[in-house]
Amino acid sequence: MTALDLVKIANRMRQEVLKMVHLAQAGHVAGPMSAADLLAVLYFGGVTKFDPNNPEWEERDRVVLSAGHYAPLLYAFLAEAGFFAKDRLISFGTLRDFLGVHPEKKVGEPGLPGVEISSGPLGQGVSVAAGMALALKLKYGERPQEETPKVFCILSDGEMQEGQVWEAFQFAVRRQLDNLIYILDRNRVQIERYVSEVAQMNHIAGALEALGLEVYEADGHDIAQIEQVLSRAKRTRGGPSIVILRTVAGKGVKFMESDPKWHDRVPSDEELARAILELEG
Amino acid sequence: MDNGKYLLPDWRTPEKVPIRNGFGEGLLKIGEDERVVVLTADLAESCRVKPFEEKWPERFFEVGVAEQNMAGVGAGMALTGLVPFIASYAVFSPGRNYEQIRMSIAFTKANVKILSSHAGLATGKNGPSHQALEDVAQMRALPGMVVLTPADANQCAAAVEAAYRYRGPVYIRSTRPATPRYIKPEKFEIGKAYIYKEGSDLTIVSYGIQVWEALRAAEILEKEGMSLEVINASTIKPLDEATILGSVKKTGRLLSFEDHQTRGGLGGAVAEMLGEKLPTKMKILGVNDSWGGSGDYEELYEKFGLTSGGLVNQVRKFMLDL
Repeated sequence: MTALDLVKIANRMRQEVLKMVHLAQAGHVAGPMSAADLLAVLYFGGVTKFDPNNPEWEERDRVVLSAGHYAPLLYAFLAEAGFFAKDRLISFGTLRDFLGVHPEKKVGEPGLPGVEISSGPLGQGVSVAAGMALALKLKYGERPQEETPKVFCILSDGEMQEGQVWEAFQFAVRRQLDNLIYILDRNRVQIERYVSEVAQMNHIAGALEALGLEVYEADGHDIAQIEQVLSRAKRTRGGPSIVILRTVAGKGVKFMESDPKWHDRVPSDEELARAILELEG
Repeated sequence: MDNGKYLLPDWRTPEKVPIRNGFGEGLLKIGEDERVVVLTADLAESCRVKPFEEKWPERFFEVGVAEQNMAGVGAGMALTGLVPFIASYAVFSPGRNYEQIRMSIAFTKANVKILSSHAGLATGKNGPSHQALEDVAQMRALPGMVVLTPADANQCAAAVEAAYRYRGPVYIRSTRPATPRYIKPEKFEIGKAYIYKEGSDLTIVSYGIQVWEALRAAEILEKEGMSLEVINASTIKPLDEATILGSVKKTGRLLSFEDHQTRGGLGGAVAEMLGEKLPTKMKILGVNDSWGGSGDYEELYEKFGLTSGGLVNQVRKFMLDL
């Protein structure tokens, strides 16, 4: 697929997110919109190994959504990638199916294929991803690094205010989990404000490097840059990496961009129509 | 009165071994399985998981003073086919990492076994910050969480084995000091409450260190013509309602007895059940909406009545009230 193909998929998935949230009258918008290009690369850019017909394939790469409120984006991509039928998306945010506003993974229950963890409470997935990576290393660690199943964990910048995240980073570094790739969706907004109003993020790359992570940065809306940086992260040896993607909250729809109020605001009928129009163009 | 079915013949003059030793003993029994991994938050020695570390160092993980991460990492390992045991003190786990246990483990039904030591006032001089008095309340409130409270080191080791065989999250509460080892080392049945002494006048339900104290109290009161039935509720969740109901139908009265807050622990569980099914004259004994203190555990136990002597006094008062 070309970069243009991936951008088109991303924009279609943005539309799906808005439709799902609008139909359910619940869910989150800004984050899913900023991470759509990332997921296009992850699921369609040949970066991750998976089989939609065998979601529990032991040697698959795991895509872990720690920023659980990005759920509608994840669901849209999983459906698009063939994990389940697209008509299930209309049950987002209802009790009818397993498409909760935040992802639900329950061992032993059918659930939604492709959803790797329960998330929602920020910071938790970061640890769970580290646990998965460690278990995979124990099992497959003797293989060449390229063949060890990888864990890609998506987190948000607001999420990094939770202390658990820093516990997990240190653990991952100490355990040299080089099959673990964190991806920070740095969209600069959180529920009620800009991240910069509450957090110390100006030198975040330096802070993460000081902690021992291998840090990569890229424009989170430039497909080629995302592909390149993920490729480098995958080849990193000796410890976990973190890819900082500079993104725009609500990307793709001008009236939503960079505005904290769109964190979890449900678009009106009119706003939805305008947004779809813009994304189709 | 000696119930030879469950108790060792010398139960009145027992060897003294910390209940938490059962963690180490149990893990050594099941540790051969390569899926078993053990994590601890800087408490390998005191949670008795060091023996596992020494035998299988490649499957032992010191996570440092980071209990929230420990719970999440355990969940991630469980989701990847391993059987993780995570060990810390009960105040920190489930205290500090309650939300992680709630979502990443309980809600997700991740096959993580939570081993927590140093529960209750029994922790002693480290004081209230280290004395978990709410952990049973916290854990039994979680859907799908199995809550085990072994009464001696043998039962604790058996609980570890039972937890290993069970598919799903399990919490095991243990304590610090050397206390009687007096229960036959037999298979632990999750969901079963054991009647260690039959009686007709009053039902005592208890768990942990207090069970042996209750048996001693029962012997003292037997001489006064009072016949106590003593039950070890070694599984708080799922509670063995049938055994407790059967006992209360016989005796008509119940006292619960635990090193835990009086609200929310075993007493709470039993009161909830009886309140709905068979309203019964009962009293809940424990730490009554209070904190412990930085003192010897024997001193604390005396102060809070968590000894056989304390129970005897409470029983006499309770029976007079009728």
